[in-house]
Amino acid sequence: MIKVKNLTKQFSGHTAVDDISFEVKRGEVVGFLGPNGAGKTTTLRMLTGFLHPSRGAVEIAGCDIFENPIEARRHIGYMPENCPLYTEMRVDEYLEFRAQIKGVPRKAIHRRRDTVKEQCGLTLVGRRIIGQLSRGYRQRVGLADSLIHDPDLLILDEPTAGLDPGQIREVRELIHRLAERHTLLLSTHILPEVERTCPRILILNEGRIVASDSPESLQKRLEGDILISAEIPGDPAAVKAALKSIPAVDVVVHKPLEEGWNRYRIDASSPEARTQIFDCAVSNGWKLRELHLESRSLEDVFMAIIRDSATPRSK
Amino acid sequence: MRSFFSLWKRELSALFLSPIAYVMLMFFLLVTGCGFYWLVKENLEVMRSVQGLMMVIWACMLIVLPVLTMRTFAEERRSGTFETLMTAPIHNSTVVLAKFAGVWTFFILMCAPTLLYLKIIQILSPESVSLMDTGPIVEGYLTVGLIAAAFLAMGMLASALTSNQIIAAISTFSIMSILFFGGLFEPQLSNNPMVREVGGYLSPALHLMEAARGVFDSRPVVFYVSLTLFFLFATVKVVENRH
Repeated sequence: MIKVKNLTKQFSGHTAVDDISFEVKRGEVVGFLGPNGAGKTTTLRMLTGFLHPSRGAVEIAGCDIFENPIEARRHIGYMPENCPLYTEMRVDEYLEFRAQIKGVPRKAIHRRRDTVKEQCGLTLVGRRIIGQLSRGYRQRVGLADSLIHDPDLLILDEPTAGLDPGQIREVRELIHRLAERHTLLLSTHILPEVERTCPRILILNEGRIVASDSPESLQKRLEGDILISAEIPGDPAAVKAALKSIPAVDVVVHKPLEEGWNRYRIDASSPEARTQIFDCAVSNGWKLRELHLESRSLEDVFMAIIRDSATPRSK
Repeated sequence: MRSFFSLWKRELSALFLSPIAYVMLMFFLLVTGCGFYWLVKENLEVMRSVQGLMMVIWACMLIVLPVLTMRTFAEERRSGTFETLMTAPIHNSTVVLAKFAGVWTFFILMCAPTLLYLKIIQILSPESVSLMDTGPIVEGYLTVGLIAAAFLAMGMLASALTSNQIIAAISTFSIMSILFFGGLFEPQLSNNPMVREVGGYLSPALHLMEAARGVFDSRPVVFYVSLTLFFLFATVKVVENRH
């Protein structure tokens, strides 16, 4: 669906996007991550043909976006950052206008408008002026606009930026539903959103792709230092000593809880240390009310990857 | 073609929804109205009044045209809608032409009420009806339309070059002012034959005077049409070039 080859963008003096190549297959849902200024928006703008690259090529559904922009753009539903809209128009009016300029057949315009309004939860605000809608509703109007010509590919640049937690959840659910039918490229800062929605993640830092994988395998990258959490009552010193005698256990840190219980955070070399901890508890006659493997959050993974990929030229 | 009409309709309705357009309408009618009152009071002959009316309209254009065009691209750039617009499957030239058609239509609608003034002359002095010739009037208005087209296209180029509406308006106003206030306003007043020659070709005021006298000259027509096409072409190139 998307083929990016050696894409480079230089703005006077600095390189915003540095020779990146990737592919997104039909039906894939890809999260596009990276710190601010990593070049995400610049990349998406080049994918939609809004910006011309300094070097490299972009192919959308088999059409080169710079040689055949009209045909390529028919396949793209794009929602830019901050969701710009004509605020003086009414929702219905705007969606009809966008359908017309995107070449939706005359007869299908009203049907498409009603379908996307239904999809995006806009049925009750069709007559409202966009400028008077809340941020969350505007975001939905932007999404409805990107869907109106029924594109195969959706490119959304930070669709949840500036929304409150309730609205974020609504938009996330909406995107989740869209992911079933469309190829989706989603740029965002909100990691749990990506974790839930995207089977594949691209991480961009300083204009280069530093990771491209599923959230799970990215998390596995940090493996080797497995973290186990256990809750055991009794004297912490004795418990620690006993736990440390297990060969697979490296470091034990404890945190007192209520009524004599302690939580132990155990760095282990293999996840199988859990069974040995259980055996140890049984043989010492301890009660054990919790024992689980702590998964590294995507946030940890993200931070680690960004830290490792940072070059000395960055400030 | 369909997207052209949708864009044209949007451009026109956006103008009618913005307060600045109504301020311009009011300004235009006020100034042309006062000008007309003065012309009637002076009791000039019919030809002179038509010429006078054309001069008043040209003077109004100096303010109206930069203000109408300043928002065309600058506003879209500032609000970010330029991105949604330019990533839709439409040609850059369609966008430019539709915007141009929108502001031009608005200006023509703005001029339409001034035709009533001629009707008023008819009522005030029925004897002058026989003196009133449709030729110069039609020609005068056509020239007004052509001059407007050229400077609207220029204003759009200025708007496409910046995201600041004020800068766009002032640069258009400045260039028009050179033609208005400079020696080119009345080139025949100059003693320098060079100024008279070149000024005669370039002065919108002179072209309007000639047209309202009923003289048809193809040179100004070619001049304004090519000026319009050149500025529209340049605007398309500026819009295309988003590096």
